Amino acid sequence: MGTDTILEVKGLKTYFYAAGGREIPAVDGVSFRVRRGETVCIVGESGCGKSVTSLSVMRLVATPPGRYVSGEILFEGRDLLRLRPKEMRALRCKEIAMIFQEPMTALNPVHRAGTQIAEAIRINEKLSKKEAGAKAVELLRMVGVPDPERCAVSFPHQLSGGMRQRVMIALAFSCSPKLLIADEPTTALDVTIQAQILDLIQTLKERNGMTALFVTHDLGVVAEIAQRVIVMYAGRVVEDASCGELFSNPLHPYTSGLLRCIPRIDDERDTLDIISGQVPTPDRFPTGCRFHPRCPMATELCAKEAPPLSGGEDHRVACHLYASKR
Amino acid sequence: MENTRTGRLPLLEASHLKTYFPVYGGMFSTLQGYVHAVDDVSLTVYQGETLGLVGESGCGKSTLMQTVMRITPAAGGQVFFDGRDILSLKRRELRNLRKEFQIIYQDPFSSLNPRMQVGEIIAEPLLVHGVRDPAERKKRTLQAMADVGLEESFHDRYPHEFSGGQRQRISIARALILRPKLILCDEPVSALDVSIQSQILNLLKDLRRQYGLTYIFVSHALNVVRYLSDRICVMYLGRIVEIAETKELFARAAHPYTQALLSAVPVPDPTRKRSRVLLQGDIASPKDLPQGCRFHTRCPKATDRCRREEPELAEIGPGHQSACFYSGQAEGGLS
Repeated sequence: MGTDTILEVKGLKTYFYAAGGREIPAVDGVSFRVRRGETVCIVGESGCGKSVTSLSVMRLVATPPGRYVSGEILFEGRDLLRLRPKEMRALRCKEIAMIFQEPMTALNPVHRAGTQIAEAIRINEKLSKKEAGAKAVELLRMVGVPDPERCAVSFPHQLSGGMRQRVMIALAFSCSPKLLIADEPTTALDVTIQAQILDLIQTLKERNGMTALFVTHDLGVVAEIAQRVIVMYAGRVVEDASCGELFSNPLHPYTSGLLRCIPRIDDERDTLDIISGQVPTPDRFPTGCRFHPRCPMATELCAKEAPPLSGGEDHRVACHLYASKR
Repeated sequence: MENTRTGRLPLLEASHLKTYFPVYGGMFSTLQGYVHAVDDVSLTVYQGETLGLVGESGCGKSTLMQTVMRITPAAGGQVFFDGRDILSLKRRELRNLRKEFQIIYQDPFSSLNPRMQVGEIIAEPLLVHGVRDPAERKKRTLQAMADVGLEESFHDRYPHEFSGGQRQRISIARALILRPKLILCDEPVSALDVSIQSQILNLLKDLRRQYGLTYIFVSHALNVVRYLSDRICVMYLGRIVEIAETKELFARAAHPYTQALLSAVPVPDPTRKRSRVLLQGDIASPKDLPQGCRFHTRCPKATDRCRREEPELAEIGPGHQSACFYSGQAEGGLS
């Protein structure tokens, strides 16, 4: 592993066990690599395992009902899945921080915004409450809160969605982490606020030389921010490419289908292409290639055998169509 | 009033519509004021067209829909549907007229009764409107199901057995079964996965062609609105700020808010770098409206006049209206 790799996920399997011992393979053999300083996006639809993958990196999957069945998550060479809870706790926030989708449920409703940020600061730094409080106000100013002193003494419910997300970002940046994981950070926000927040995260990331792992379902957001894109479908990575390459030359039928079925603000088509069928739920993933029931190019082989993720460093795809060409 | 340019007849006309919600607070829950959710909105929907209604959360687009349907009482104004004033109808007359306009809600998980079978859900409007013959009901239910692409075998199953896309098809079948003239779609695809959205959008488009429907399509997603709408109406804090035909709006957005909105939508194409109009701040609270133009607190072009006076919606081109003092001067589309 080269020194430029900050995070490497190898063959990660995170399963859930429902009542009666039913096995739900939410994340089923996911591998990818994040280089230092990059912005990597994981995209996919509901139930594809993108959120569980990001929670696994933070070791935040509830066990039980979940279990890390196998695989490695190497952060700067250390396998996070083998760390003791105490070691993992020391890593969170300081080394890896996370921004969640819904700031209202991620923030504690009975504590003031500033107090919550100060608490995170005091876990990692030896500061008095007063000093930490002052630093919290500074952080709020940095994330563009108009009246940081007032925001610091507000409760989450008194803030708007955009402001709450800024508090979450201030919280994530409080210990200047090396890796920022953002799980749909703008999905709950309006587009004009989304633009502000994406802009803010990008600026802060560049200023602090951070690496970012974004989870999103919005290919528009991906095109704006990503350097590398990982497309997931039904618990597996189906395509992994640099951003430019993915949009100009999508290989997997799912990726190209997805790109063609989105109505775009800058085109005038009369009918949209569609991907037929339904998104499979994790307890009923199809055999073989999990996309084959919806794939227009599926063959008999696809129903039987799952294609491995293969290809060069710049563009990897898991599809039988390309296996023979390599 | 016939639209002289397009020659089409108006189906729905709202004039000076207002919806206010009282706000209670303080120790004795006294009346503190009103939220001006819809504030003096006039709007015409022509037969056979799709009018897109866009705006961010809290701008009043859903309230406007509910007021038009008389689900939420209006504080003032009139709504004419096919020449009849909806807001002054008696209960029974209103119920009769409701056959003509139906609604599809955003969340297909909460808008279907979990204890009713799919067939019952779709047939319920027929019962309400006095179709007594069970065989007739069944026939029409199956027809509606076929129209939206639901298999006949789903008739006796329950909503929880279906995914979001299928449930939205059930909602559409229910809205369609009375053969209404107007269907109000309140964010019908925003709860769905991307690959499912296009299926539902194409379905709505096909049904419009097949049955000559008129849609009011409410959404915050501009790309979706563009795909389906003939005309687009942009709302901000309870007011319409701009109305234009879809092509015109995307080519020559006149209001600074529309321009910012268009530039904020991420486009799935990394080679396309656009200049962004980044707005400062949040939407003002509709409880505590700013003086003058409602948008001036976030507007990059605001002047003293904007802080004092509120601009009226004014014609700036054929069929193109904008509520900004300076909309004639700066033009900005998707470039």
